[in-house]
Amino acid sequence: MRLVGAWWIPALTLSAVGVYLAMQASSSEGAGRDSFFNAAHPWSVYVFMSALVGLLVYGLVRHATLWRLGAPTQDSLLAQLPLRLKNMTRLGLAQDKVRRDRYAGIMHWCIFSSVLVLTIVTAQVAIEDDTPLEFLHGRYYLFFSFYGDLFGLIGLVGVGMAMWRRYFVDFARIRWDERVEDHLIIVGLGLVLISGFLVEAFRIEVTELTQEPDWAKWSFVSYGIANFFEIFELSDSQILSVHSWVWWAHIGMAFSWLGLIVFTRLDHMFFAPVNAFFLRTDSPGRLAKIPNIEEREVFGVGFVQDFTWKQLFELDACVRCGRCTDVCPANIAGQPLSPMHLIQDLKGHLSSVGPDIQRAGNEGKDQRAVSPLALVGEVIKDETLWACRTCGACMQECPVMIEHVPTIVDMRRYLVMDEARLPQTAQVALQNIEMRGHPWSGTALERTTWMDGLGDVPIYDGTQEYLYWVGCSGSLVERNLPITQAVFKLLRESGTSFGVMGQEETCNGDPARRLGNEYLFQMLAEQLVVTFKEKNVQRVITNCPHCFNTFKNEYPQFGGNFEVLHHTEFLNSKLQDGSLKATHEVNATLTYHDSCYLGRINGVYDAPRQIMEFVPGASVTEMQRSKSKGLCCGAGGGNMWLEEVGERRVNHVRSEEAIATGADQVISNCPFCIQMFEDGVPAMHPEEEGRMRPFDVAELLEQAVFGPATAGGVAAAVGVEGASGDASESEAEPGGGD
Amino acid sequence: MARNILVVGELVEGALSPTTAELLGQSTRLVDGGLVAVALLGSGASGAASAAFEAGADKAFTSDDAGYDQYNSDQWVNAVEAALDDVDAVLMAQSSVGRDMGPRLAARQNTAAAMDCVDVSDDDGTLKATRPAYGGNALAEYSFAASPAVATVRAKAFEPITSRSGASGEVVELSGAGESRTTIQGRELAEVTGLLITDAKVVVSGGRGLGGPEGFEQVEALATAFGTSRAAVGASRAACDLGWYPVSQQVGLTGKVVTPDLYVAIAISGASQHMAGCSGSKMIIAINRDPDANIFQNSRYGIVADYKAVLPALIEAVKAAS
Amino acid sequence: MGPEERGAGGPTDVEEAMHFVVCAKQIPDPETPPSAFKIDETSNKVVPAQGFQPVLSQFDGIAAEAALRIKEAAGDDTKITVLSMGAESAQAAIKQVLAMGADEGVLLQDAAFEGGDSHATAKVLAAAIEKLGDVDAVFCGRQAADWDMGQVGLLIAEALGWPAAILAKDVQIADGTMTTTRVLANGFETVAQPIPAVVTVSNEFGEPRYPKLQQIMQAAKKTVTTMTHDELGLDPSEIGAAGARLKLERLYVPISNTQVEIIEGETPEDLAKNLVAKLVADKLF
Repeated sequence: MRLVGAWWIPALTLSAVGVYLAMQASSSEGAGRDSFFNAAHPWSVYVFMSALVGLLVYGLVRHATLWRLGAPTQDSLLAQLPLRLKNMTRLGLAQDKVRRDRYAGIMHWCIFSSVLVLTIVTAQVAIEDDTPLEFLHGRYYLFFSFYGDLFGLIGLVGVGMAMWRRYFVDFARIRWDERVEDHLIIVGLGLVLISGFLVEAFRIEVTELTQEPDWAKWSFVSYGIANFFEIFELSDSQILSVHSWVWWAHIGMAFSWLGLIVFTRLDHMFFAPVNAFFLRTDSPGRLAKIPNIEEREVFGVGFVQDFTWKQLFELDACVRCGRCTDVCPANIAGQPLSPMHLIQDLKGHLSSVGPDIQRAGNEGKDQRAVSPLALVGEVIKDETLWACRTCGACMQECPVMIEHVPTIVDMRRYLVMDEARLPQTAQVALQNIEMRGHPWSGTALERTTWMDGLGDVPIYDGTQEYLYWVGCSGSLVERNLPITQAVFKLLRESGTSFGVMGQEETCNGDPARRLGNEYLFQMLAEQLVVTFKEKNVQRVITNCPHCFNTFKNEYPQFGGNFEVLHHTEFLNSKLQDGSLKATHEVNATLTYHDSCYLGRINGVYDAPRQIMEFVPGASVTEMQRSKSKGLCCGAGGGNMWLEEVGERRVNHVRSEEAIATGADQVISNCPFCIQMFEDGVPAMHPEEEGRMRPFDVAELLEQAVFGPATAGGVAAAVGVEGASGDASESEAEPGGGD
Repeated sequence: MARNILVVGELVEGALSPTTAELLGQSTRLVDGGLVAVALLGSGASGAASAAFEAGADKAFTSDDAGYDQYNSDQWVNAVEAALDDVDAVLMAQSSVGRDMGPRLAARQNTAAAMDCVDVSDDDGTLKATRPAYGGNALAEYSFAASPAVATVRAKAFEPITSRSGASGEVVELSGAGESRTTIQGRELAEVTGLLITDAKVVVSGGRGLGGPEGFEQVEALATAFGTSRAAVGASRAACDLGWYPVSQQVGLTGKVVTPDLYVAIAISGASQHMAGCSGSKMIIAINRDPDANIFQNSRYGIVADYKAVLPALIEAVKAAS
Repeated sequence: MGPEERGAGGPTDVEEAMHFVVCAKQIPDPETPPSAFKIDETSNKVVPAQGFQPVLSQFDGIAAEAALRIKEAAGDDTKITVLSMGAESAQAAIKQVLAMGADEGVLLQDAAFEGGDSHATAKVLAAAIEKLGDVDAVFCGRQAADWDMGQVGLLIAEALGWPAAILAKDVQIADGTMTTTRVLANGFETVAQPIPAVVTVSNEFGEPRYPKLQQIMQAAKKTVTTMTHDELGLDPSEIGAAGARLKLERLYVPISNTQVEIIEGETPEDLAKNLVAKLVADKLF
């Protein structure tokens, strides 16, 4: 577990300081305090307490009733217990995700630790009071007073930071779904903390301040406040009177604030760690299979009760922080998808129809006829679902571990398989996959066209070590042929034992699964697994990160367990072990685009960068949004075959970011990203003069290994003499063109 | 070997249509001593007969009944059947008329028609029809196993004759428009503003590679540079499907078949279904930034470049030359 | 029940459900790239390109869509039969139309049907339609996307003695009348004809629907009957290659004798100048 930056450090440090100071306390004998000092009716606290507990239970039951409307999860959420506990600790307690926003990380730690510690403080008082245990005296009491005040102060710092952001800086994402409760929570907490200090201050004023000032100093904040109030020269009875009022106020506000847990997003303090426990333990690139699909009558989620109970539960974990929406490529481009609003809309829908569904179930009525609004189409619009790129940025940022993407895909599955309601262009792509085994309707190329001019191309026959999987985009889209050819030449040069499948390749189903046609995907996957096994395939090198993700993370669902590498990983290993030598200079400045399926979803950030380091003469500038914060190119989630609805196109936004680095070339590792840049860069930089050129890592490496004569595109970009014309994109016309 | 040929003619505002003249012209080359007859139905038919004789007909079957003016299947087929005595071959245009009449007439004669032919010729005494198939990828040559041979023919497949001015022939009257099972409820004809794409000597077409409807502004500018009296604008099916240009200007297998002197294909990949609509052009030139685009396999001249970069200069150069 | 018994032109009993036939043909994939399109000139047949499966002719899919929309508008128990003449592989094309929503399929499979032309094909299809009986309308694609003839629909109509409308952009059937808006060379025309009738549907109609998964799975359970020439009472000399009226003498890929000349030039102005110079030399101005 990474300790660097975790809350452990400040917490332990402060505690250690406190302990040290306590040890230094000269005389602590007798230090302690009367519990319920000056409290008129101490039993009232227990009434409040019971009411609070009752309210919490009620709240939990009310929520749980709704969650239980959901379907069972496919995999047991108790499996892999150690990992789940680790996730719960790392994400729920150490709040790794919250810290991705530095300011919020500090702010939240302050509030979180303050609430946690002060709850422990109060609990200790209660234990001291109600049980035979006695420990709140002497040194420990002083230490206890110290850290009580310390964390109260830390809490106020946190509240101050939060108020600063909300009320003075006008931080954008706070406004996206701001509600009255948000003000209540933060102002309320502030008041609770302040009133707490005041209570302590007034108590000290009439006790320790005069009697044992050294002890009083341990409650350093209240000590200061008490001293301040001395200037008013109130009489003891006056102080006690004020103390009483403030005590009631404090109790009332404290319990009310805690009561907010039931009605507001404060419940995340329980739900977030639990959701972290429930978090998937496998790759985010793996979508769930529909078991026994042939026997089902309903597909995907078209009714809120068709979500799993976990998907319904996590709706309640959402704190409306807006980080997901902030990083959503569709949202950034002004398209109709906001992951936060999607989750909130689902949550609102569940709250409003859930009880009716429950009742209908009890009365034996049709639970599917209850909701006045269609979940898919009315609560969540079709265009919202289609705008998703499945890039996973939302899930990456979510501090409460909500899994937006599977929820969106579940609704797409309903649209496609149950309603058959999908955009025409997506329909064409899916039908093309069904009929022709690839999504590129209208291509004039065959799967073997890329082999022209490469000499003898080995066909995989089970004897070679690796299968080089070219994929549909690598063979049927004009612009990508040079990439395929580059990888091929590099594999050959490195002496790797490999073969290709050529005409026998067929779509592995990834676009079908992302678009929601799970049935088609399963058919393709089952068939391809059989084919791979027949051919004795064991290791696969893929051109494309989507193929990489599907083979690696999803094919095991169908019994296909292969060792899968992306071409950048493999080529990097060949450079590392010396089988490939990059000796030719490429005098260009480069920037690198992390594709979502290789980068964020599968964590491969370094291999391509290491390859670039091997290229002599090249210098690399990182884009502002890179690695796990990289912005999607826009083609994911089937959007390569969907028309964009909204203000801008995602690939234009990303191209703009690439151009802003000032580099000569933008290097990527995915045929879809390349196509997006080929379209986006000229759109954002119409003059051909000085325009950035997009290339794959393999094309770059090809030039470094073989020299400019063979890599026409890359060489032409850097103005090398004798290089042939550029390999630019020619879009295939749909339906055979005309 | 002599054969009698009947051409089912069409009238355009009372005058002989250009395709009718083309078919008559070819018929004179095929009859080998036999008779060339023409059937003309509708207002002005008897007047158009003289033009028909000049175009090569020996005999004209006419009816001036205005009831024939709008093609109505049953009426026309029944009328023309009356002219089928001793006819070895029937030719008509691949037009709205011919597409319906050809098969029906053939069926009445217990045979089938060769549709959308690009050639009908005599091969050593045997009549053969050549037509494109497989989306324009192939050419098929047929002979006729039954009589009469029926064929519908593409516009501009043949040359009319010019040598028979002042010719005359026999006119036989056909009965007026009879009963029909079809009621024509209405027609919505496209307003003919400017040159018809099928009549244009120069056609400048844009395709999906234009990237958007704005691309057509440049395409139109080039057509204007060639001269609005002889150049028209076309579009590939992909561009029309995307709504970038009206369907009436679609060139291709299911669109218009054009045979201009010059066909300029801009940002068109050249898939066979599109080529099926323009391969009859005398010359095709292409502008496309993909050097491997199929269009270059079918062009005489090509420029490998982004159309946005080249068109402005080309427009100027064409204006200068015109 | 022939047209006379229906009282052509009069309203049918609205209670009576209609029966439509959709003709579907399975053809070699029209999206086969030109580089993979090869003909065996000895047999005058297209060589099946490796890796390219035969598909349902796209216009037939649109014809099925037309029939389905009328069925949905009629809101009754209209039955749709999909009819195909072909090899066993045509089952896939039939299944596709069944998945869209047709009710049952009929495959006309017989060696005697092979090698025919439009005439022979129409004869077989018309015989099958007569055998099915009680058919109110036949929906065909405007042309088969392999031979592109555009004739069989009309030949079927003539064989059955029914009216027909071709190149339909819109079709409605109600009260014994079929109203079709059809594509003309220079516009559109709306015609009305009494049913039973034949309509051939053009791409201007729209796109065929994407079938729901439920329908795809149910399609597997729908009945597909096969029929041979015997069952249709057809004389082998009238059908297939024997009955063909158009004899295919030669099928070939035209060799393009245009060798493209790529214009050279450093700047767009140069390119334009050089191209125009060529056109002037070729007397195009």
